[in-house]
Amino acid sequence: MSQENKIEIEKEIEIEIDKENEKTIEIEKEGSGEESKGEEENEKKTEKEKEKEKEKEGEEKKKGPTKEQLEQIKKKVQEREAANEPKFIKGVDFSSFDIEDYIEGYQGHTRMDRLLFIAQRSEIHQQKALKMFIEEVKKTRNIQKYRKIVEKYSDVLQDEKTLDQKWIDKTLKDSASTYDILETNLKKAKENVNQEGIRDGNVQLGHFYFGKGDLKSALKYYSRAKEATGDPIEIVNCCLAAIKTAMEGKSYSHISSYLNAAQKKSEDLELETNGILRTINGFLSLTSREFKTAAHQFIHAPGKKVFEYPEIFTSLDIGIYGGFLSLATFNRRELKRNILDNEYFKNYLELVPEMRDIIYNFYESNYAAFVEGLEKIKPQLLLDQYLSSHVERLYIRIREKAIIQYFSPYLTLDMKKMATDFGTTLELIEIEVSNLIAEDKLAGKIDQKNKILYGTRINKRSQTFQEVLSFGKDYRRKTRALLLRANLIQNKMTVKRPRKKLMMGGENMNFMNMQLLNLMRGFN
Amino acid sequence: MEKVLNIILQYSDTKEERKQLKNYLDKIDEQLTNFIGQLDLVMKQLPVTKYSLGYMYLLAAKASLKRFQNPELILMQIQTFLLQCDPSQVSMSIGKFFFLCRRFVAIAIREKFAHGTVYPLKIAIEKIGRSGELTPTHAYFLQACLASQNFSAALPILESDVFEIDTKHSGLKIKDVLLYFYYGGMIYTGLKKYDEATYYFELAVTIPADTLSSIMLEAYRRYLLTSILSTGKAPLIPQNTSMSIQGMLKKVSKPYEEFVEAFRSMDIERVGICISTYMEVYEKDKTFGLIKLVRDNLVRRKIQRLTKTYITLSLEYVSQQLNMNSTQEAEFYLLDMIEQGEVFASIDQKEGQISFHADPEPYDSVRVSLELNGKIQEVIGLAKNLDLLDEKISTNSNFIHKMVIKELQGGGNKTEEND
Repeated sequence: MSQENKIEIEKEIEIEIDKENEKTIEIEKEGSGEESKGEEENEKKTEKEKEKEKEKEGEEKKKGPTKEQLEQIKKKVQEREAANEPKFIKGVDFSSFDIEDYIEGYQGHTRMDRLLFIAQRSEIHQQKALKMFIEEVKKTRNIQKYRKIVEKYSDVLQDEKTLDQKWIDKTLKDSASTYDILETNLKKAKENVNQEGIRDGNVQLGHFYFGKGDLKSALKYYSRAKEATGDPIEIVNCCLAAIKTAMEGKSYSHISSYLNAAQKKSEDLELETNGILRTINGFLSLTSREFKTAAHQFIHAPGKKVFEYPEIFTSLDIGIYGGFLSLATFNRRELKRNILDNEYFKNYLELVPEMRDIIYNFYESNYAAFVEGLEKIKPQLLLDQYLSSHVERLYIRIREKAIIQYFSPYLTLDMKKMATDFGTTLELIEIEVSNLIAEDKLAGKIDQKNKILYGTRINKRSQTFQEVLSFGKDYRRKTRALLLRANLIQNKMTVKRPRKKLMMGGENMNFMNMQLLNLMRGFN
Repeated sequence: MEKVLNIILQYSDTKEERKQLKNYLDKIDEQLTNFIGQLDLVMKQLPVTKYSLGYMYLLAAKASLKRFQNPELILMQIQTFLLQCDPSQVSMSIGKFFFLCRRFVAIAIREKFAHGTVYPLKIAIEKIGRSGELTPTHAYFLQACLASQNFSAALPILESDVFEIDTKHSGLKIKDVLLYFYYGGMIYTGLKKYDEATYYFELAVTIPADTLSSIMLEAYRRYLLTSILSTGKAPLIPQNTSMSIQGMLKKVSKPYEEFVEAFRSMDIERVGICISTYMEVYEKDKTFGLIKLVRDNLVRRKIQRLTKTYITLSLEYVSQQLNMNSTQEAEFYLLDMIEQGEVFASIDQKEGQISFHADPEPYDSVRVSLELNGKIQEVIGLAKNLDLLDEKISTNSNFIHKMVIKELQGGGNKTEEND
């Protein structure tokens, strides 16, 4: 294990050195940029600098890091790790969240990962979550993870504080023997050129490494398994296993490429796995913050078939993700069409009645109930591993949409009533509304003295005149500029590099420029 | 010198003679500087208008000196010359004429006599320029106006939109073009017409270029600042800037780019920090005045944002929102803005309330309709110009040649170029 750690640190050091080099290069470039102004001089300087930098880079790589540099880099790595350390979410009451309920639907490694996430985010649940986590991790062969977490959280864990050496030893022995068996099986299959056997052997080894926590090797074997077979269903299965691995390792590029491969194969076939593949598509959109696309993908994921892949997402997830994302991104029409009138998705929404109620309340403008429901469901969303980081942002969006919808039928509106309906104070609602107006999302004006919100009747006529005049002005300017440039080019006049000789007529731009600049500065 | 004088006197009557005179003068031009002492005497004997060509060469020779015992004299001489010279003669050696104008301004600025050059140069432009055509004298003229702080004198020339270029006739150099637009922008800035200033700076920046010129750089920086002053939004680099210099422009103008970013964030404190960090740079570039104006502008922009969201507002709220020291400061800004027409509002001092109104312009007067008509005519004229340009290019033999070759090559048939 310590060897692996060493290798990891060395790799990090390499990365650090490259980053250091990049940094010094950048600083040098900036420096040269600010100093020089003249044309040729500038060009020459940066060329020389670039040569110098190349020399420097070459030297650095040959020598390798010095002791001091190593120390510095180690420090930086530690600082960075400390900064990325997950912290508890403050300000939210998690007491209504039931871990066992939540984790029930999931299977496999995702239970472990989600429990760890909850342990790191919710203070109240930390102990319980960690205990359950340890139960889960012992079902796998991942000794490293077990060690790491126990050591890290030793002050929180009471009974489990000491490492279960018995389990570690047993697992090591077990792993070694299983490995031998699997290796032999694979060899035999290769010797007999048994395609299915080769595929199966690779898959088994992939599972083996996955269980150990060696995600890289697992991916390697899954990939080989995929190559070894031509049966689309098996290919898709290999891809799914690989995706599962990549999700645990948070390697989005791998997820993306295996997803593409799997979807290509299953394009025309109505496989049961299509549902989960579409869900993963939605997941990728979610991580790249394309919320609306993600909403569509989640809603249409299951289709007519029953959705079953609890090792990554449950059907509850579909209901929650689909409902939540569409609440944040769809307008009324879209909401109606995609959710309320959607036969298939409705079934999934029914699995999460709180979300269903929120959406219905929003659609029917029961704002008080809507806001209440929204607040109630927040803890649960915050503790979901994949949704958590987007929750705050989406909540703000949902709230904005609600305010805009609330105001839309009115010409004048008493802001006090609005504040009570949204469960905030008058001051806070005024701030929210004024921000919306300033961002052009709400068409209205506030009468601050009487605390009334007026809808604006835009004077179309006046607006049209203004637009026309400004458009005309724009056109005239652009056309004149165009004619000027065309004339210049026709006369072959461009700003060129000066010739080296100094001519009396003042054709050397550099020289005359300096003089002129001095003159110009004289009267500023 | 006697010989020269006689030749000038003899050969100045007909066009043919003048051509010969010009050739002769060109030949002996360099030697004229050897006779500096006698030039004044000779020039006194030549009535300017009749013998403009010869007089010009002599005067130019004198003007090429670096120092003058009697600078007032040379300035008077050039001034008289410009006012009285004969355009037809002078246009035969236009380069000399421009040289004379340039020296005129240079000497005048050194002697702090720039204001005296404004009118003569204006006359000079009218004499030798075809209307709408850009000549080097335009640039010198603007320079003189700028040096003498005589901005309004430049307005008629600027507003007449000189955009025609004909190097053969005017001997225009790219530097003059750059300077014309740069000075134009500065003059408009001096007149607080930031919209036009931005336009002129933009023109300077979008001139076709292979390499960065310091004039363009200065123009770009001021472009950023005046653009904020006129529109209140942080500007992007002009679309038609030559590709090769876009990157260079941005790199070398970092203090300004950062300032623009700070402005975009609408955060008064951040802007203040940016200013104090780069104060030396701004002072060195002499843009500090503009920077201060922009910072002031930020306050106004924030107030304008408020007009968008509120119908009535308390003075106290305004001063709070904008981190001002008192309601008086808020009132002061608002009064100024109302007077400038940047905001439509009325202040109820007793209540400390401000009421905002909508833009009262009803767009239904004769004035508006006349304005619209005028602009429509302009646009039609411009469109015609564009059409002409397009026609000229499409009927140009070189262009057609290229297009034909392209098509034939694209069709898979290889043809050899027939010349």
